[in-house]
Amino acid sequence: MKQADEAIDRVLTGLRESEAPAGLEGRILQAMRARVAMNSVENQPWWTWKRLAGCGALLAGLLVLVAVSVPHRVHRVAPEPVVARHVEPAPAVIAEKAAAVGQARVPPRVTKPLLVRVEAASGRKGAPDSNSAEDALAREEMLAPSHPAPPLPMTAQEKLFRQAVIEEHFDQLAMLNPEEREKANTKADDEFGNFFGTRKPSKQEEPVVRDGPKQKSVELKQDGNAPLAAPGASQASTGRR
Amino acid sequence: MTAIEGLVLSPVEGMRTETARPAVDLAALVETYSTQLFRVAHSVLRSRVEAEDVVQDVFVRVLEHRRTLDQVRDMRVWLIRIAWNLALDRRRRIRPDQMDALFAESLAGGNVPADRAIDEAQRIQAVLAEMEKLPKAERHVLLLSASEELGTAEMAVVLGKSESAVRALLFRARTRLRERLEGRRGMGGRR
Repeated sequence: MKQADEAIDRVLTGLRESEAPAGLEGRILQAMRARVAMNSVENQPWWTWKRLAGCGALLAGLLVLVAVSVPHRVHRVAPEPVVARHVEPAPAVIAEKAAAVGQARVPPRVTKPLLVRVEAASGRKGAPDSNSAEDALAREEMLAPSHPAPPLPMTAQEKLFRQAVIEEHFDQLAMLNPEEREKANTKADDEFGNFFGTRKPSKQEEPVVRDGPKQKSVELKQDGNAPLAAPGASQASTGRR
Repeated sequence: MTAIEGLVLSPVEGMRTETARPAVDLAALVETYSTQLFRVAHSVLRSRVEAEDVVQDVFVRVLEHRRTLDQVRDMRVWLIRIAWNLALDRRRRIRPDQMDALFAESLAGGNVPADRAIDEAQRIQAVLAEMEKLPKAERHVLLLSASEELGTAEMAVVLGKSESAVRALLFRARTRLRERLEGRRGMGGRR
């Protein structure tokens, strides 16, 4: 029992006499200084930079909100209630429209009621009917006869392009101009006939009687070959015989 | 106002009346009580590093409650109570029995032969192990009684109990611990 008490006292004495580590007070004071410095920054009055920054951010947010909401309010005009209602059109108005648009396009008579937009608000009845005037103009424009667009002169680029494409080219000119095309055909026939000795008379030369080539053609026909010459030419040659 | 050189803490800033208490010098508090607070924390934790952290936390609490320091009647008991509660709170995160071997060797080591020092360290370690097995209230009273500066009344304030309860708990703790140590020795002798 005595040994147990001694052991207990020994442990309690050891716990009692435990030495604090060296420099404990200095470390604690240093930590406290840091803590106090941090607290002094946190305990600054409300107009310090942190709160000012917060207020600035809040103000900026409000400005953005106002800037976003104001255009919506400006454009958000109270919608005018529009009611579709069948209205019998006045005959005088129809006649006027018909005279303006043209007799051919206007239907002979309007028997069915037109669907016209009428403002339902009773307080606006006395106001000038600007919507009906716009509608009338729109209807006129819709019923107006359509005309083809007037021919526009060629631009410089178009002229250059045309010149580059068909510049003094015989065949292309002939394709475009019928007289030139006829001349070209005649010339080609003449060249063909001169070369082969079987000249094909053109329409202009049909009444003219020529000696050399026609005789040759007649000879060919007599030989039983295919008739190359025109029937008029063969008759002329046979008549000469 | 908080003066860091002297670490002077006035209870309420801007309220210096005639009835107000004088400002508290935090540096003086640290120098006066840090060692005692360290021992209280060390008795619970048996770790020097952890005990030092507890002492530092105690003075952080002092800073946080600087506006109500004038309401503290006994600064020493108040500080010990904070240290005690902080040490118990920290004890939940660490295991003091892991530190017991080191603490026992530091206690046994001295100008004694090595074999006797080992035997003494084992006995101290056994006492510490049995102390951990005591009921919580008895263990707390026993550990607080290790502090020489604390009387029964102060221990009662720290633990939130009456003085008679503290005395009874202390008696029962010592008796129970003695019996267990005797029984332990008897079992070791039989073996």
